[in-house]
Amino acid sequence: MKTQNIIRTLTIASIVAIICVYAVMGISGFTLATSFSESLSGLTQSFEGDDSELLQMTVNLDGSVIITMSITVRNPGMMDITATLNIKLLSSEGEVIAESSDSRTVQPGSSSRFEADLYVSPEDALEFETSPPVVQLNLEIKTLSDLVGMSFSVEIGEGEPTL
Amino acid sequence: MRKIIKATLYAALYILILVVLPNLGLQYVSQMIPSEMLPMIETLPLQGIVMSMTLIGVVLAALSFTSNMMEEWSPIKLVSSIASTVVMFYFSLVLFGLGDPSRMGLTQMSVYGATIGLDFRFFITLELLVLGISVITDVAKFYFVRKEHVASV
Repeated sequence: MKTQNIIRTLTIASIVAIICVYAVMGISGFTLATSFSESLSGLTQSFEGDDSELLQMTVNLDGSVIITMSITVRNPGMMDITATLNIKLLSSEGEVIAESSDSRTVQPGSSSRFEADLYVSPEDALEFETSPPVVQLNLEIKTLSDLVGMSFSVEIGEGEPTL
Repeated sequence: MRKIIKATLYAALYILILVVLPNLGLQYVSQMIPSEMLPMIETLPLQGIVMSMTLIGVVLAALSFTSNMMEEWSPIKLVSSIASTVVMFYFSLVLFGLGDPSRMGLTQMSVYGATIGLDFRFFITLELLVLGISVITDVAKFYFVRKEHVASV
């Protein structure tokens, strides 16, 4: 009888522990997959559209250029997510001309607009006419205290400074 | 007789879930997935993943049949139970590595010039935890049942 009790207790404890582990994996996996796919579909729609929302370029009077990239990150999942938008402006040789990032937490069932500004000096902006730069976009979404995550990175505008 | 039915049913369940359904799904994947998701799906080694699942399913079915046919105090039951848990862990490595278990949950794939990265290393750690819990439970159960069996003989 004592042995049977020990075995029953062990079995129940292990089943509860395993269910808890799989529940954590399921909820965080669902949150990550839905947030990532929703945010990515918004991003691809911006690519396919006129790009006015995704990338904006302002030329200042002194010849410097400010490139603003904005993306809406949605969280239809059940846990908080941490999203990071990182953009880099690379020269044709691959050197980083400017870099900017925006990172914050998005609550479940809400969305947040991420913006990152790149300042390009007048000297660098002048060089764009001969050697067009490349914008490197990196979107990272993490959940479960940043322990699991998915990322998307793409290089835009090879040979085209305006998008 | 009851034992054989139970063992066969459990083995059949593994075959159904890991062999029959994935192979059927592979044939209809292009009809089930939305067209905008197809380029992403095409980059995955689906054929390889399903082949791994089929092999794992057959191995798990054989181990489950052996385990269910043995007496609780049999060392063969302990070995087959632990082997099943290890195979399940390998299966999670295959799934989280998108077909390549050596990636250990850290995967990158290219879709139309963009790179998508997946970091599921923590899930692998959780799977290791499940493996540990299952092995400890199996060994402890075997120890107590074996002790009782030896005392009764």
